[in-house]
Parts: sequence; C-alpha cells; structure tokens
Amino acid sequence: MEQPFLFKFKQPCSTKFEINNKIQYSYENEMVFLTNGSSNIPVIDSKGQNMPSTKKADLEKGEDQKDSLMWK
Amino acid sequence: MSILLLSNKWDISIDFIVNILRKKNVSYIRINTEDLIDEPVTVNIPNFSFMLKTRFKSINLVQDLKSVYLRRPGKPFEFSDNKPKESIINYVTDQWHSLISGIQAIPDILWINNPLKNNFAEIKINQLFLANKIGLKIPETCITSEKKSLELFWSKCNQKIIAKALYSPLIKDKNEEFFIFTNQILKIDDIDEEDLKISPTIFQEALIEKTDYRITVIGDKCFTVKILSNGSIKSLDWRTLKENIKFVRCDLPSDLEEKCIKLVKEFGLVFGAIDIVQSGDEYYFLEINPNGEWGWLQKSAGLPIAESIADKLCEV
Repeated sequence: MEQPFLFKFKQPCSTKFEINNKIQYSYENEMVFLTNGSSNIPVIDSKGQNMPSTKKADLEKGEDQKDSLMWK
Repeated sequence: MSILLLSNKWDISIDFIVNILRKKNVSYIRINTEDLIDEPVTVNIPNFSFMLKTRFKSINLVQDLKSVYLRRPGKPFEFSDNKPKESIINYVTDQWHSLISGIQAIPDILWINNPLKNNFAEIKINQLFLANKIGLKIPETCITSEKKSLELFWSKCNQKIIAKALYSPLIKDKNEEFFIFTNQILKIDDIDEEDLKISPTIFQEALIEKTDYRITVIGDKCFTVKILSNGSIKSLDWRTLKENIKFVRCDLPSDLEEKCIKLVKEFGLVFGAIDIVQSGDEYYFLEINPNGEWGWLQKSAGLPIAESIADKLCEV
C-alpha cells in the first residue's frame, strides 16, 4: 500500500506533555509554579536547565507542532 | 478595559506575559480554554454580551475587551485523567471552538493574531509567494505530487534538493508519534511515483552550507537570533540537534529586517516567527510561523519578546 513519500523519513518523537509533581498551576497567580519543598517559585523565575518545556515541546529541539487550524 | 489571554495552563511562555501585566497592574483575564468545561460562559444576542468567568474573575468582553492574545488554546479534557469517549470529546471541542471563535464578532479589538489571518499565513504557498513579492529572496521551490515535475526540478537544481512537509510534519498514530524534518534528497530514481502522487510535497533547492536565523517580529519590532551549533555535527535541520546548540542575539541588515516586518504586516498579523538562512552572501526566507514559539528565546537569548507583546496588548 502506498504511503506518502515523506513518511520514509519520519522519526519518532513525543508530543505528550508530562505533568509531574514538581510543577503546579496556580489559579490564583495564573502561572505555573515549581514546587520545591517549602518554597514555590514561578517556573519562569527558576534557574538552570530544568525549566519544563511547554505542552507543545516548544523548545523546538526536535518537535515542532503547528497549530492545526488553531486547535481544531 | 481588559486584555484577554487565550491559552492553556501549561503554556509557560504566556506566564511571562502574565507576570508583566501583573507588575504593570494592567487588567487582564487568562482563559485556559481546556477549563471552559468547568467555567460558565454566556453570550446574549441582540443586546450583545459575552460573559466569561474564571475562579477569580469575570468579564463582559463586549464592554471591557480591548485586545486578545491568541496563544495556545487547550482542548477540553486535554489534561484530564478520565477522558470521556472520543465522540464526546470531539463534539465538545467543536462547540467550544465555535464559541471562542465568536469573540471575533466583537469590533475594534486588537488580536495577536487574528485567527483567520493566522490560518492564511500558515499556508506555505501563501508565505513564499508573498515573501517573494515584497522582495525577500526565496529558494527555488517546487511543490508537486508528480514525479515528472520532480525530475525536471532535480535537474534545474543540479541534483541538490531538499524535501519537507507542506503542512504539519507531525504524524500521529494510535500509540506513537513521528516527525518529519527537512531532508536532503540524494537520488530520485527509486522514488515511487504512487507514494509521491498520494500527497503533495514541497521541494526546494538545497542550501547546504548555511547559517540559520530566527527573526521574531512584533509590530514594528524585530528580534533576531543566530542559531549556532557548538558541536562538530552539522545538520540540515537544526531542530534535530538536541544538544550543543545555542541562540545568540544579533542584528541582520536593516533592509532585511524591514522586509520581515513588512511581511508580517502584509499578512495582517502583529506577530510572526520567521526562519531565514544565510548561504554565501545571500539571505533566504524559508517560512513564517504566525504563531511560532518564542518562550525558548526569552531567557536563553535575553530577548524582550514578552515585554514587546505585553506593550502591544496594552497600547490599544
């Protein structure tokens, strides 16, 4: 059976966003917080390389997802 | 008057915007659209009103809305552990999508970006045509489903061509996902005609020795980074380099940046993320992502993109 020509170049990737217990969305502050023991800081203020990527793996290091007709 | 932020709760990039708006004490409401199934919305017509409520805020968009940032709307049930069956998900998603799209009925609102303009600008043919029209250099391009046309193009480009998806290179199967990066085509003799015929593919002249740039345009502002590989491995598509890559703020020739700003305006957009490559002495436009991600540049390259977007949302 035919498959689109470019399918032979496909590479596995993951678009699944993993919500872990180190981050939590605060409805009161309307931002994601890094929960680290007793201190909660906004993820955007966190230092180092561990800032979570967004749902769409938006660091663009392998996964680039278009908005398919804007979420539809 | 308020700003409406439409996204999902795990959109870290929009957290930068929220942080700025809070510090400026600007009135805004953030709607994580996946939560709409739990938060009441009512629209009345005539005597048009569009009431949105979250846990802490409520707003009549018709009276109080001045600008909208359409970022990464989440789908209903997207982050739920107990999802209903697919027919329910699809139906509910469609209904909410239709309702949110109805915000466009409210006049005199600044959209970043207007969804209809986004959809038009997503189309690669539209992008390359308009870019070429306003004077941006583009690679020789052939979009085809016909092997004969590909063979002609192959000769025209001295057998140096790349292939990529015309739209959305993400492939979703039941339990696995795949992505199609840009690939150089080394030979065409064994390309199956039927595989080519089944869907169009975009082919372009290969720009092998190149430097990649990302230009983020917000209104009349332009923020550019050069994409550098630290390691010895070079790649046709820098997105395959998961490590040893860095983004360095830089400036490009002013006429090039002005054309990028013009391109975004010509599409009727406020925001655009543009990919440019330099090959030899020439700069080539590759594509524009009208809703491209920028959060990865805010801190790593020190670009004030969030500030510029917030300023734009506030200036109305």
